[in-house]
Amino acid sequence: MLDVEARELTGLEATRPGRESASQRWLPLALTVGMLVIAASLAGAYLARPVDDPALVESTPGQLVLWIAGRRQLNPEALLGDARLALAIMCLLAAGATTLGLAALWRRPEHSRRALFWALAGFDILLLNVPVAARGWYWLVLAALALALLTLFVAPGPVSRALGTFIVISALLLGWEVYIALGQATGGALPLTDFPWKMPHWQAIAEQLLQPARRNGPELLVGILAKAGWVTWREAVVGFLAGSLLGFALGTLFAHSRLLERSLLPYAVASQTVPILAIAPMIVSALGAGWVPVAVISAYLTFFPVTVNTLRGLLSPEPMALDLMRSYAAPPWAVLWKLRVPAALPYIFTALKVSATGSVVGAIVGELPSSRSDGLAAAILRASGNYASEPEKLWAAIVMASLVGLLFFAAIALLERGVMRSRPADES
Amino acid sequence: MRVDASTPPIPKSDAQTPAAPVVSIRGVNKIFETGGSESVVAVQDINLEIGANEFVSLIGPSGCGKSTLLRLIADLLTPTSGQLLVNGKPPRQARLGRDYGFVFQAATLYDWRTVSQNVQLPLEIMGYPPARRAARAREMLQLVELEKFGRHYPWQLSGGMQQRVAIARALAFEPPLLLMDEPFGALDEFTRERMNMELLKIWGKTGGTVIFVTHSIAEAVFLSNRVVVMSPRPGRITKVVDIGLPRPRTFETREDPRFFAAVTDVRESLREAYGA
Repeated sequence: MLDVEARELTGLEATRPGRESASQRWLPLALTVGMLVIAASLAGAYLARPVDDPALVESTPGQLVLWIAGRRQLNPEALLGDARLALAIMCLLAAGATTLGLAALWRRPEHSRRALFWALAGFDILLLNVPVAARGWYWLVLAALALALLTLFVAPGPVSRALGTFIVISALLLGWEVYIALGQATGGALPLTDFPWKMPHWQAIAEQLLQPARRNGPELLVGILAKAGWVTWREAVVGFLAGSLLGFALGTLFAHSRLLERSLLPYAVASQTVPILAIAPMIVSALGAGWVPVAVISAYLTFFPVTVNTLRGLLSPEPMALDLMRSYAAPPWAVLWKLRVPAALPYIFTALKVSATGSVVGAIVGELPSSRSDGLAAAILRASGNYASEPEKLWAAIVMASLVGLLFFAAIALLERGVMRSRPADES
Repeated sequence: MRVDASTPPIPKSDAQTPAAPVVSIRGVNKIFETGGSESVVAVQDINLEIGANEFVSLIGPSGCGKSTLLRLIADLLTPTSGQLLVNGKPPRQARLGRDYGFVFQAATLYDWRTVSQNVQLPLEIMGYPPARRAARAREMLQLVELEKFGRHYPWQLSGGMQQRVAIARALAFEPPLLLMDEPFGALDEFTRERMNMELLKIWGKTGGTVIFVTHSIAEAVFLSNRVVVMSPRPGRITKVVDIGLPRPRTFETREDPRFFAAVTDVRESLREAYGA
């Protein structure tokens, strides 16, 4: 019994912070107070302004309600009041999350990063809603975002993978806006800050998503893009499943036959060096229009990582684990299903996560020559044709495309977590 | 080849007449080709007979081929020359007939299986019906006193507990012969002594023949009827020491003057083997 307890004790790895220095304690507190002041004053400012203030009219919810009012012939003033309330609530939520962060920093420092994560998310949302037209307020949001990032950097507590990913996204958003500001300050001297390849503000991209795709059209751009994403995702899923099965079969074959591995694996590698754009038209003309060639191209980009990682994983069991099977005179199927495949699962899941995003890219590339008009590729093509006048639309399409890939990745990661629940936690 | 519960799933070796040895080794050599013209003689001219229900230890310094010899008996390696019979059959036949259970240096439990599922692994492969597998696993875990840990995962257990699970797994299909390759080598002295006691207790209940590889003199003497002393490069048997200590052996056995005498005997033999 004693040795179990000892094991559990060592498993618990003391992560409790030691005595922290004064700067470690007071710096995040001071930064958080700054964030709180900004969020609260933004909320107050919005509530105090008249409904025709540009900071409200030009904001993402402001533009959305104006479109609704126009379509339904409603009084825009009343709806703008609702938009103002929505903005104020966003500010208050950011303030609330910041307060929680403050409380955590004060009482339970080890949880402070988790609480501050929500504050960061709050300011990200504000960045997508507060228009550049509201000059000073926009700068305040940027400042709060910078403070939040800095606080998360210096605050105590563990960093989860989701938090780390989110910090990077937020930092990119902030860097993007700062870069635009620098470009304007230098009169468009920096690349991509002037006509015709001007980077749009993120608020403008969010606003565009919540506006009709065509002027006074019936459907919001986000709805159209979501439908396109759904079409592309279905093609990608078929390609992903086919490619993964092929990859698993090839990997298993290679693991059992050195001859086949030696002779065929180089061709599997070579297949990935062929530019997919070059062979996609051939696949389309061979298989005809429709979703089938798209799925085939998607599978083409999917199978390789699965093949290589299946092979590596199946060969990963230690000699002793294999000797054990030999001592039972285990038939080959038992060695495969009871030892090699379970041992290969971590490797296979790594490949599946790569392939999930790859299959979406493959589907988009496959849609181009098959001239499908309802997928993401068509949406991206349409938007890039009008980049000079409406750069937001292309970025909106890009956001949707990466969102589809990201959600697919997340779904596989979730599946992995479920399947691997019983394994010892690894450090990676 | 699934078998229903009523028929025994493993073809058992025929009942041994007391005289017939469980393991019979005659003039066995094993040479490893290490690429090119070089080759290493791992064991040379081994002659050994092990009878039913004997507990025999193979002892010697690292590189003396004691593990190689055990692997030859288990048909995990094939002898270069000589004759080897296990239960009167060639080792390959004995392995296919599931005549022995093997306990490795490391517990070699599969991470993704619970303790109980690990014990059931050989039973699954040998086609036992699920209900019998579960019952058998419970029995075996009781035998090694881990019945409360069936639902745990191996990595949640200590090294000694893991090795006990490995023993339960090796005995699950009731093999008449148990081969153990330095099973307690990675454990600390105290745990190892406790595991020695446990092993003798288990052996007392299950019976059968045990061949035990170790590099600990005290362990070999404490456990065995006979200790086979081997010398390194090339590995050969230099002496077989009979241990006359009475059974059951207890913690007091280790303080018995006869125990010390036997330890000294084995140590002397090892020194002679070294030619020192």
